[in-house]
Amino acid sequence: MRKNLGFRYTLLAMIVTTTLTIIPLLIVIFYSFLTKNSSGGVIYQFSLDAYRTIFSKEYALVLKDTLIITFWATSMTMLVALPCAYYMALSRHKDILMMIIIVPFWTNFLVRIFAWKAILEANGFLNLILLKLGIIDTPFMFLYNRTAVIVVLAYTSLPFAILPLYNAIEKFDFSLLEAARDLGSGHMRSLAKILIPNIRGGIVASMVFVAIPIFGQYIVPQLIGGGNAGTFMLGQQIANVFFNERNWPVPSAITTLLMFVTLIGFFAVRIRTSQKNRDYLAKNK
Amino acid sequence: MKKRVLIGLIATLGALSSCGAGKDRQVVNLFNWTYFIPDQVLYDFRDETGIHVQLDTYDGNDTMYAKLLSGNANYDVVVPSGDFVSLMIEQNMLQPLNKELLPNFRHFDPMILTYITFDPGNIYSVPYALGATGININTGKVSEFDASWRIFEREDLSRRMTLMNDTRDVIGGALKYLGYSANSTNPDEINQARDHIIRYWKPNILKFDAEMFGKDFATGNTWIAQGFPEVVMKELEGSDAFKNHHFVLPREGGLIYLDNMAILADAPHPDLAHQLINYILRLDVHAFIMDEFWYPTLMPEAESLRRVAVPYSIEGLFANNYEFRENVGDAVTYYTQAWNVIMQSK
Repeated sequence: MRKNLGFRYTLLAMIVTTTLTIIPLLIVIFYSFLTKNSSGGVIYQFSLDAYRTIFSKEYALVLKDTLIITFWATSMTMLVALPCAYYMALSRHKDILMMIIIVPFWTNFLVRIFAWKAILEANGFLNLILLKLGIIDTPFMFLYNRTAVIVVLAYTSLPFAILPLYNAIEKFDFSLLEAARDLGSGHMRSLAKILIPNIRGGIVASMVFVAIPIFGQYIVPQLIGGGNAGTFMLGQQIANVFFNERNWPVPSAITTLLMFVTLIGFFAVRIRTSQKNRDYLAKNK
Repeated sequence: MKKRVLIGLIATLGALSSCGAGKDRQVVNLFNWTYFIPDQVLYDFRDETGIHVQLDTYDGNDTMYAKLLSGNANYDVVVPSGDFVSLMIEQNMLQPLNKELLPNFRHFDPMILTYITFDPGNIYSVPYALGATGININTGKVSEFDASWRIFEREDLSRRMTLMNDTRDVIGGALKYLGYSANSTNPDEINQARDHIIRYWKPNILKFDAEMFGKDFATGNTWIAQGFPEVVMKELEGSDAFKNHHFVLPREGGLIYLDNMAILADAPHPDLAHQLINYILRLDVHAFIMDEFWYPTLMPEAESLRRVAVPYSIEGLFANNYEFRENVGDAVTYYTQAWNVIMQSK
């Protein structure tokens, strides 16, 4: 009886998910196999042109740059987020710290990026301070290069890394660290050997939350990279092909391909995990 | 208790939604470029005719076109550039204009109308404003310069120059510099232009930017900026730096944009749309709008009503080999591919 009710309660959510997620994805997959129409839209005729286009050197290069940026931005985010989350979980002022993390996100995303531009530009705050202190004598262009893109991307994704990590660290039993130290392990070593493995779920979750949106970024490389060497990302290329060339199948093909790669990765991890679980159960029978 | 809150909420929503459609007022929906028409014009039109203008904006022809393609948005008047007028005519997205309802159309300079190849005879569209990209120079920082695309090869101005983030404008400039048409559809020519940009221009420029170049120029971060002069002048208006702004048309040529008013085929209020267009074509209104953006006037009789000096004239554009931006059809693929390579290159 109760089971039936459960189904009824989730029915609405299921309809919403199906219509708003699965059907659009199917449309994207369908469009990727159609012929492009140079005035926009598609011609309903089967074609593999879109896939032929994306398996090219041009796309391999932009993919390489995108992956490099994603790697460094994610690493940087995690390096900053881990100590922050650790400190927050141990602090007596958790609520205040949490507010400090969340409040900036009430400001519009674009405004925050422009704030970074005001800090980093040739006549910006950073140059002003460095010039006043006499560290440099001509303004330095901090903007419009790969490092600037990585720094701003890391800044924008920081809360998405801190929150899952904080969640994981807060549930961690800190007496384990005391035990490790009682047994003669150093502070750093006990963190690395006890804390990190225990919050692995949180680390993986925050890396996923950070890396995937960065991989698809468009606006940060556009505004902070300015089309300079090594800053051009796949998201920009997709927008370019879609808006400028009015080619719909190619962006659809990129999306379809990425979706399948992600799905394969997801299932590979799942199969490995369930295999591990089975081995564990078999061993401990 | 909860129920009562819910009822109250629904009642409020109902009251709010009825606010908009309460009175039987006349509304015409205008879909225009961002900051392309002074609000004053729309208020004056409302005061004179009682017709409200519902304004919605876009930042590029591409986004406007994509939005119209993806479904009915109830717009009446749109303001596409020439190349998009021809594209939209092909797609049956525009309706023929009733010239009897547009008596002010006669004010246009007939010479300019002869250049309109995207809609010969102005069956579907009438000009709104004509603009061009060129080179903005901060004469306070750069005293010697040549009115040529070659300025982007100057290493002494390295990282102080910006180019537009527009495929056609930048590649078009290089095409003109190499002696080709800025509307070229020949992949060899486009690739030569691409290589020229990568080899000689890209190393010296700070960035490709079509949104922020005016602000960067105004704050002194950059000294040379390819782009529309009015964007820079709007930023500098009223400041001392205004006198240091100099705009040149590169002598090799560039692209002219002619933005046009047209009525969508499925416009819900075609009559009101004609009224709005005719109002905008009135001599004093035309002069007022052109003044706001320092554009050259398209109506000889409106010349005497102008209050500001414009940075370039229509004669100047033709003397400098400028070309109207045309729809290049399938060759747009060559431009996009060239652009992606330029973006990835060192």
